[in-house]
Amino acid sequence: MAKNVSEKELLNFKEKCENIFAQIEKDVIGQKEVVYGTVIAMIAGGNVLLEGVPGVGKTRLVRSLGRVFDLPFARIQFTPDLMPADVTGTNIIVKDEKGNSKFSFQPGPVFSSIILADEINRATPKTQSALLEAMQEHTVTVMGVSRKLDEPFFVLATQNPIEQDGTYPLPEAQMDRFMFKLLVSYPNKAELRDIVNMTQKTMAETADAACNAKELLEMREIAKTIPVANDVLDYAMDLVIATQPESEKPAKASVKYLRYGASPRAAQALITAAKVRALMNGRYNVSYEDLNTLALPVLRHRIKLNFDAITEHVSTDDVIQMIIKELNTGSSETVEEKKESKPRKGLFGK
Amino acid sequence: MPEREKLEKYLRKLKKEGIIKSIIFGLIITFSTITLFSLIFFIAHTKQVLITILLGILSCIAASIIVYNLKYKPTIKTTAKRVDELGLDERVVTMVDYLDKDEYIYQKQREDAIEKLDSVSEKSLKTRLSKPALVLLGVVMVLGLCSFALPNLNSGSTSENPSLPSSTLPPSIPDDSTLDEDDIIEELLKKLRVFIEKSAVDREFKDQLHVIVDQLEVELKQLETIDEKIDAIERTRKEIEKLIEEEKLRVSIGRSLMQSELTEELGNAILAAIADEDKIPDVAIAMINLKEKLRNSENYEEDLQELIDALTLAIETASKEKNEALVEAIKYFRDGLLNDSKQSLSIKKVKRLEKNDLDDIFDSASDEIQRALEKIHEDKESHQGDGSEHESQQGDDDALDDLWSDMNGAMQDAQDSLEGLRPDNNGDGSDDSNDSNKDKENGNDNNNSDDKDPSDKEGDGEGGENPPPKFDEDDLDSDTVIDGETPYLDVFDKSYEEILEYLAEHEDLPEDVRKAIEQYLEMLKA
Repeated sequence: MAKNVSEKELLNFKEKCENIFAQIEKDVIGQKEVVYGTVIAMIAGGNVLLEGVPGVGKTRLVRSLGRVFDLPFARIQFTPDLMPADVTGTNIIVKDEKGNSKFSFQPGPVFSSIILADEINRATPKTQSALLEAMQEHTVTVMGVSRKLDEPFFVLATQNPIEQDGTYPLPEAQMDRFMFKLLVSYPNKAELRDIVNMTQKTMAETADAACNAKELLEMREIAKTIPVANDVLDYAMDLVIATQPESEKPAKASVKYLRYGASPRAAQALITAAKVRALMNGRYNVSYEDLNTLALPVLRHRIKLNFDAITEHVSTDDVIQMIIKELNTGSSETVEEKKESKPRKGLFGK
Repeated sequence: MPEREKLEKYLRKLKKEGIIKSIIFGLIITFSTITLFSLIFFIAHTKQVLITILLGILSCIAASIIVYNLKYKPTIKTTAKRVDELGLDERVVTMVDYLDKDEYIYQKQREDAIEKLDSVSEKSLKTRLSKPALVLLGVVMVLGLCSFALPNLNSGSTSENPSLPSSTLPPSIPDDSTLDEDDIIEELLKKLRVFIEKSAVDREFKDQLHVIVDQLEVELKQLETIDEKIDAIERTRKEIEKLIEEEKLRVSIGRSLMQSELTEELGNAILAAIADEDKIPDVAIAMINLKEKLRNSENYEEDLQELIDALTLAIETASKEKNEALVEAIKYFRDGLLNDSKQSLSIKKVKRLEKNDLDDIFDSASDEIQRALEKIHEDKESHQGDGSEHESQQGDDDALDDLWSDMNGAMQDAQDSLEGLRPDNNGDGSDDSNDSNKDKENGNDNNNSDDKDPSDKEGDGEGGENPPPKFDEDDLDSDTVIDGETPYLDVFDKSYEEILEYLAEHEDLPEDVRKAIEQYLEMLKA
């Protein structure tokens, strides 16, 4: 049953959000869309994959989030020799008070609230898959024993789009478990100057806690109560279905450029995140704009380009925007038109 | 609910928009219907402008009502969606979807939606009309309005009878312009002869008219151009028409007199004298008998009055158009009786005439009538003897001349096209002549002139009692033998007598063969 929210809780939600962003701004210069998306995902209870070149502040952002949300934070540096047990933990033999040996479970770094899976694509698929259960069910099973992770639980993974040598692309099942894939770009000149100036003083994060685990879970429950009009819900479903080339209503761009489309998890993520975004913007309903804006981080890692798209240098973002235009106007946008069109409104919205 | 009330003003505006859109759709259907039916009626060669307009109006009403109720009638939901497009981020449609929810978040959402709704102006909701629909409406409107011209063209085309004025003038030029000149002239002469045969005059007079046509044929051979030939035919036709009218006029006097018992003998005598010159003295005898009948009458005054009335009726019947000698003679007779009996037609009572007066009146009247009859026969003989007289009958009827000048133009066109067409072409070659005569024929209402009485042009001397026959091919085929000239019965009677003689001479013929021949002849006669 949905939580019956009060006006006070709604006001608290807004205040908390403002406070969270204010604290993060102390440690992270620029990257507002990434910050905004990450916070939305955390409030919505989703995992985030941050993709960007080295040195753009991915790890710092995650560490800062750990401080702001006042949650246990663990970092796992994924390497090719990292083993699943190094992530989940393992049973080790220990002696009790009487000197008898017995197996005792030694929790791995996954037993934390915020997991930074740094350079996740450098680990082998076997190790990457160690996170599957934790990310979806928030449990870890070792030696036949399932252990529940503390709530809230988030995996914030990073990966480098370049230097693909010795890396293992994340399997589709793993990708689907990330609510958002956010692209971390280079800072602009002003942001870069601020970053340099700030780090001359100290490299350590200075953000204070703005929200604890309990408050974060309450915010998640409040966001879930935001109503969605039937037409808006239908539009979200249409958007997801339109990415599926073999569905009953595929978009022309999907048929042309995609091997396969987004899963039902995408629709769930889209609506959940849209509710959070709406509430963050002081709105008590989900709008088409919420869905269109969030479609990129929600869908870009859930759809697979075909050979035509690769040869024509069409990105997943291009395809998603073509699909959105086709749904809104009835006519699909060409790649050239899309590239010439104005940049769309960011995650910040208004 | 206040939420619904907030949307009512927008709903009203959208209703107006829906009605406008429905009317536009209806007009598109209307003009499409008009265009379609105009084409159908045009193809069907009918002129149904009112029906087309009526169908258009009905389709407009029906289409507008249907499309409004099915598509353009706004609901509270569609209104909410339109209002959201003013920048309300789906607040209104969400509010409408959850109007029945009482939880705080929904109340908060409604408050937020109404607050935003109040911040926008009603005027910012613009009426949206589909540009393609307006363009389509413009196109079909132009087509529909232009299609109204189709029935007019159609009516114009149907009136543009490719044939020359065939019905007003009995010897019309045949429709088939593929005929060569000789065929056309031959056809005209044939129709002229048929016209003579169909006229309500006696056999002898018809024979005299045929002689005129024979003379015309001779004359035509001497003429070179088809225009001259047609002119000659037309002049002869007018002359024949005039002669027939005059003949009927004369006959009408006799017939009129026959209606009264008192003047029946005189009427018979005049009719006989008109037909046969040798019977003229019979008129004098009839006059003497009439005088004696009147003198010995027990009701002298009544009979005298009846005689005056009968003569007056004959004069009125006969003298409407022509003041000829016979009419004058009858009038002389009537006036003589009138002057001596009561001085005026308006005086009811008549006085008995003295014996000498009566003799004088009757004798002088008898002489006048006989002289008039002799003049009639002299005129006939002059027509018969001098064929060139008809040349003096130059067209006094301008309209008729115009018509024939059109005929000449058409004939010229037909002549021009003769070389490229087969002489025996029985197909529809009328299109060429149709086009060539289109402009000329527009001024003549000759489309239905086949039904017109030829005598209408110059008046009917007998008040339409015996209108000249209508001319068409059917009559030609049914009442004449294969040459199209000789009346069927003439041939039949002659052949019938010959066969009867043959049967009488050949008594050895089997009875069954004899009966079959007789039955066959009876059947033909019937």
